[in-house]
Amino acid sequence: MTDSEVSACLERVRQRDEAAIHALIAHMHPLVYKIARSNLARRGEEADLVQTIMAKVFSNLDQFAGRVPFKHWVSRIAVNTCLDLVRYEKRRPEVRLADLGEEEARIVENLAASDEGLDASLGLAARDLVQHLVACLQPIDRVLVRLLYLEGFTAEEAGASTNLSPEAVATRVSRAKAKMRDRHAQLLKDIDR
Amino acid sequence: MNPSEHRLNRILDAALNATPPIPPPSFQLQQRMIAILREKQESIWNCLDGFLTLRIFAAATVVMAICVALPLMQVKNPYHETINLANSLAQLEKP
Repeated sequence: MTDSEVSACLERVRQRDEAAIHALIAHMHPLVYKIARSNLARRGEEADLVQTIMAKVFSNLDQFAGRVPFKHWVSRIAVNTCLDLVRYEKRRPEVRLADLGEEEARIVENLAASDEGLDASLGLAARDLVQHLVACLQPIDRVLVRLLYLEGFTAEEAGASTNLSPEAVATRVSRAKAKMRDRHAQLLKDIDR
Repeated sequence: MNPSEHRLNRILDAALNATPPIPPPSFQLQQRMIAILREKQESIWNCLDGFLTLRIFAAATVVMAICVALPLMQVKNPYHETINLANSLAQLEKP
């Protein structure tokens, strides 16, 4: 949907046109789902978080003044909702090999042993491992890394969702990655022991 | 690129490549959003109702105040006029 199509759709939604409501939900759902999925500590609870975010969007629809693209407005609501959740997550400065699942530990061992790319079957475990590695970061950095590296957002998109400039996103992510490298090195030390 | 950076990038690449597909929005979600919009519309009507009731109550209070004040004014005026007339007569009677 283009911006003008979204504006027309919003106008119809304000008049409670059900077809327009369905169209708007279908338009927003992938974006909201991606943000919700990447910021959940456990898989399988996306539907509830998506519903919470969508409810906020629809309840505040009258407050959308059109100063920013609708997509950015929705993603900010989604990210702010997720940030509230992320702030409740425990920040773990250290991670041990014993904290990881069997497949995540296998990834760490594989990476230590060879320079080849990871097996595709380990993809979901790699996502879980990233979630372990980001646990040492500040909430906003956690959200940024998740959006960029788990959902493929660009720095501009992640910036629009978090109200940061693309340069600020790049700086924060670069520092976050340095911390994640340290954390990963810690895991490799556990293997050597 | 140093080895630790290379390792981390490989994990991140594998994680991104394994992004699961996005399911379509559920029927339940769509119904919930429609219900939210309806509730909102009803709450707007309730607000309007409340506002109208307030206005009707205010108008009724003003009418009642006028109804009470008018007879009082009618009683008060002849009294004042009588006093004034008496005073004028008293002035005239003075030598």
